Amino acid sequence: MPAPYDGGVTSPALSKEVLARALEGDTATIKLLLDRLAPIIQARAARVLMRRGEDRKGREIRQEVEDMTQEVFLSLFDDGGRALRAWRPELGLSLENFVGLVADRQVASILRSGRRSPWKDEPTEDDALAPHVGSHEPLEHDLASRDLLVALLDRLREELSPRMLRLFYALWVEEKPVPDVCEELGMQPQAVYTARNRIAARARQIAVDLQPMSDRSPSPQTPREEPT
Amino acid sequence: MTPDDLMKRVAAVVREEADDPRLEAIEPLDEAAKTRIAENVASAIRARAARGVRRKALWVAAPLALAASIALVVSRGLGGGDDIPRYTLAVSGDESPLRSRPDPSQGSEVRVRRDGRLRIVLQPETAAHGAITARVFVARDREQAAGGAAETRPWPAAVEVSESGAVRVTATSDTLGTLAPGSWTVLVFVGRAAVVPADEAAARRAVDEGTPKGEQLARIPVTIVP
Repeated sequence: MPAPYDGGVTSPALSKEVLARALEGDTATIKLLLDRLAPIIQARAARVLMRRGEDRKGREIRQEVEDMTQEVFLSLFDDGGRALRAWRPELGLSLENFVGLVADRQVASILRSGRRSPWKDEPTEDDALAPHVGSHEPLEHDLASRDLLVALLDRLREELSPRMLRLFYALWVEEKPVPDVCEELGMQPQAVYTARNRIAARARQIAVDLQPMSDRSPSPQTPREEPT
Repeated sequence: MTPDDLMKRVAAVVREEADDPRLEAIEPLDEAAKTRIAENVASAIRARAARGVRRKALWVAAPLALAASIALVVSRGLGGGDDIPRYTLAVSGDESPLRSRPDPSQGSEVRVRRDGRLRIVLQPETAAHGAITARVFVARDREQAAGGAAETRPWPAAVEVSESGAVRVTATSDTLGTLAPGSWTVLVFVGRAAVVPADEAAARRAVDEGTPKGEQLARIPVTIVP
């Protein structure tokens, strides 16, 4: 089982103090950050760009990856470095892992809309995704088409907070047991189960939204009225 | 399909991405590229601090593969039409004596080799509603042509328009190579399809007489070097 989204351990070299110096514009510290973070950002960008550019030449893809790596790294410093300031090591994510998740979000946003996603504060676990819970629209079997799954993945990466995205990777991609996820992210089991249900509910709603109208079945909750 | 089944299928796509054998061909950024990016970030932070204002966004799209080159970054706003948003322009070429300009609103010239790469990004400040079209022309007046004939012609650079109306123009050796060394002006028209010039005559009129409602024009001075 690959573990591509395990960000490893928190490096003492990449502390809040190091970030503060980088955010003040210290070139050497920014370079240090880049040395550590560029490979992670590159890997995240490359996966998505290669999946999207299957018919393109290797050199073009490499150039796109390099451009995207720079774009995502720069996004970390947008708005006074808001994204970097949002990193809280006490919540269990190493900076490398956190930046990888931010990179997922930025790559998805840039490719979809041409712009970087404005940084949003991390929602609390209680209100994250809450508005989407309770959808009962039907989900057709052909939602399993690859194009739709890819679009759904992009939307999840763009919408989920880094912490929720990490949960998605841990639970479904790496298939980690809940106790391991609890340990990694410092969460209680119930909070993990709740978040898992909410992520799945949100994904389901996105899938319904992405499904062409013609493919949707009438909802059993809104039966079609027969003419009288 | 249960929600959990759906999530498992999405997870399979993630694994497929990670297993792509082409990933092994991706080379890490070289030292020159990393240094350049770090300096770009540092200079942007210092400029922001000097101005005492928060920047909304930083656009840099340097062609990093050209390790020996220096990225020129230009950002300036274009006036918005009544029904299209205001756009911000960012240009990167592969060669310039300048890294940035203190007052990019005054414009600057991008130097790019005929076998190089030029990227122009027009970013709407708010998402554009309705379809946006972009067309690109190149022009030079008699002065730029050093006594030769003035000309305006369509330029077949790659143009991408996002759902939000962002426009990205990418010129590589295929299109840059069609320009003789010297000074040129790249004209990027952005707006509604009905008003964006369809040919060189319409482009010249727009340049001379101004753009109509629903259209914006970015003029990017470019020096083509052999």
